[in-house]
Amino acid sequence: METTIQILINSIVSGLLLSLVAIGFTYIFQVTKVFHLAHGGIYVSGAFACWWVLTKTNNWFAAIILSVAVVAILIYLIEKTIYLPLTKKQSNQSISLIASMGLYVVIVNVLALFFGSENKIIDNTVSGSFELGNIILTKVQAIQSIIGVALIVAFLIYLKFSKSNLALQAVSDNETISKIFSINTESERTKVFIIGSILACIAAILKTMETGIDPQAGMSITLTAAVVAILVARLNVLLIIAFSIGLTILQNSVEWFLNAQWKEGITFLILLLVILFRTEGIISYNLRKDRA
Amino acid sequence: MSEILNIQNLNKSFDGVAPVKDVSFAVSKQSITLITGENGAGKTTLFNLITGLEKPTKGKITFNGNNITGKSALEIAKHGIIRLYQQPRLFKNLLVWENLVSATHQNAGNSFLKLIFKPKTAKQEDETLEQKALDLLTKFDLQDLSNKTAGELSYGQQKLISFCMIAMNGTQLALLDEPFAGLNPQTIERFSNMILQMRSEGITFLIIEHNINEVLKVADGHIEMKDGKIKTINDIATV
Amino acid sequence: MNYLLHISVMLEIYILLALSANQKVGLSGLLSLAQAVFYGLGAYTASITITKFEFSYWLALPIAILICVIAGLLFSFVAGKVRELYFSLATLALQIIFFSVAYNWIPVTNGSYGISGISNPEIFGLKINTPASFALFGGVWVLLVILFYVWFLKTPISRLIQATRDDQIAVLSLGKNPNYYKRISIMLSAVIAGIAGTLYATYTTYIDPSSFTLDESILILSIVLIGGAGRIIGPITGAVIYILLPELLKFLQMPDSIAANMRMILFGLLLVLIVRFKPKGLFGKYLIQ
Repeated sequence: METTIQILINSIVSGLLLSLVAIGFTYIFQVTKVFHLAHGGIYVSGAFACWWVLTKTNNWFAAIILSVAVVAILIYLIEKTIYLPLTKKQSNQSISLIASMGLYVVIVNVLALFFGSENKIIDNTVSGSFELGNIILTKVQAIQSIIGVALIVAFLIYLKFSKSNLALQAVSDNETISKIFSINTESERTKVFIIGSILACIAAILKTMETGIDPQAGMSITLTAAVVAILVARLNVLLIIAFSIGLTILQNSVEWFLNAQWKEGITFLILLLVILFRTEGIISYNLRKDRA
Repeated sequence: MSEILNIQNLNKSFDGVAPVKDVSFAVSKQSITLITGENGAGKTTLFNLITGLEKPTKGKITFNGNNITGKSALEIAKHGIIRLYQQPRLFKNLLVWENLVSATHQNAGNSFLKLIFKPKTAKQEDETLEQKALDLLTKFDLQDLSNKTAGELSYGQQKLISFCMIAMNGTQLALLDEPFAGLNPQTIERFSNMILQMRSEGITFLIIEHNINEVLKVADGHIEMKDGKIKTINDIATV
Repeated sequence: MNYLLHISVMLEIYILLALSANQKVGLSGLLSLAQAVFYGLGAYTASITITKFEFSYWLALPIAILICVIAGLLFSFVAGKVRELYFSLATLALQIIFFSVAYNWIPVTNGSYGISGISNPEIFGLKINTPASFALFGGVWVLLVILFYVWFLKTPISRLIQATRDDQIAVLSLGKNPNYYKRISIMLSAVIAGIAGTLYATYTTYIDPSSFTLDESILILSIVLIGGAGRIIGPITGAVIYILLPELLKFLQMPDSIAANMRMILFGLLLVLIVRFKPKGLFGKYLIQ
């Protein structure tokens, strides 16, 4: 029983961090249609920037500001030099997926080249925990939850009050309408990429406080976030959180009761089944294309 | 003349819309029938229903005495009904003669097993068909295009080539969707002659076209649709 | 000299992998992220039959091919059902599931410890156990596959496979089943990747799941896209670039510690640049977009 509750608590906290990555991923995917696997590269870049500043100055404020700046600049360059031109050429989505994988490979290997591939630990972190019987909530987990929730609320407020909310709905519901009103402008895309990346960056920093970071760490969480994005299939923040936590509970239970390495297999089995059973056959696809 | 296509009380409805209502008509072998009507009159849905891209809600389609109602697009195509879209659909990375040969059925090399176990037969048949494709192109004075990639042809040339594919395919009934749209008068003239020639070789045509006068020069029948229903049927041959 | 021969064997294996991926990507236009699954199936089937049942290579090979044909058949149902991005994602999922199974199904695959002691192939009583003989052996396979494609690319079915890539609705309206052509293409691709797997296993005599990861599949796909999809020369060029890149870096006196990362950086960058500026690849025939 206590084990179950402990797994549940841990899953909710790491599910919350996953949902930050997944919200960013879905936001980007729904608005720009780019299946942005390089999100994993952005994730580790943010964490490494934070770790690097902390080794130099020990100043958390500077570290966070700088890492946000690093991911913002990085994603800006990627969007302007790769994704936007590919979209303008009307490449199909698989092509931007492949470009994004290439970018991911480059980012990860550049980080490994400069900082080495071993796990980096942040020394200046919080220790201690709250205990209730045998159930433990570490202080780091508490910080992760508070900042995570705060960030999600901030994102919701942003969506509610910015015009981009309307734009997003128009873009994801009906491309033609958004074209008529020319809502899907380039600056809209840039904003979406930057906001999505900042969410991933903060999630990465929070995760690094607990487990440290290595250059390869971004892939697994991004793939899981991608699964959430496909399962939810729209930008519904609460659903994304629910699916993220649900998936993390499943993964952690698999890890606990079976074996750590089955968890990705099972996550992707779910993805495979969803893809196979929700997508349309070739004829209806072409009919729809012809009518459009 | 014997009847090739018979449509009885054909209906299609979804979400409270009925693009095709109680359509009945018959087409005789080796005839050319023009179908006209405003946008939304149900012409395209009618074509979709005949070719199996959409399933009728009610009614019956008989082709050569076989009931083909509700069969899949693939099965219907195998019966010898071919549809040419308004935009020509060629295989743009293949050469023109390769496009034509790909349209044929009597080619052993189309099947992997036959190709492996009867490579000689496959090779011979393929060479025969290549020659047949060349002859066909020569007949319509298109032989210069034979070794070009389909993607590099002009719009008009693509339409003419996609039309040649009908002859290679062993088609009995060809459904043409606005064949003359976007073509210059000379090409239309050429196209009309090709249609007449192919009819004389046994192919039946249903043609959707806004350019009514051009088709009426060659058509035997004229069906006018309005709001999903048949407004008038004219059998020009009998008029 | 031995090192040079080792490089040749690896090059031969990657040429086979690239040609197998080209069948799918170039001829069928299917951007699959699961080519390492068939590579792995070939390698594991050969390893297990050779070590557990003491089969010879020549008995293990047809079994590996059979397994790949069956897997290809199952895989083609996915290709018949989903397209474009969702096809790539489905194959990505299959790749990760395959790795999970290879890693965890310990009674069969021995998990992360891998399978060792895989014996080398024998031919007419001669053991192919030196780098030189293996380079020759691999070279024969590469030659066979290239000759196969020289012939195959001229056959009607290969045209129909490409026709299905260009416009599968048009193939359908000609009364031909586009799924049949995808199925044949995928099975062919699976068999060639499987053969590459049997070569890899019997050459290194040891395999573990880390050779058959998503990264490997991405790499194989990149080789084809960089070299150019469609023709025979494209995938071969891609494989040569990938294998010779580290040698070039060595020639530039780059220390080994940096070279591994540098290789992936240059290769990743090349992939991005090709996709962005030269979508046909260096020698491609078919434009992937």
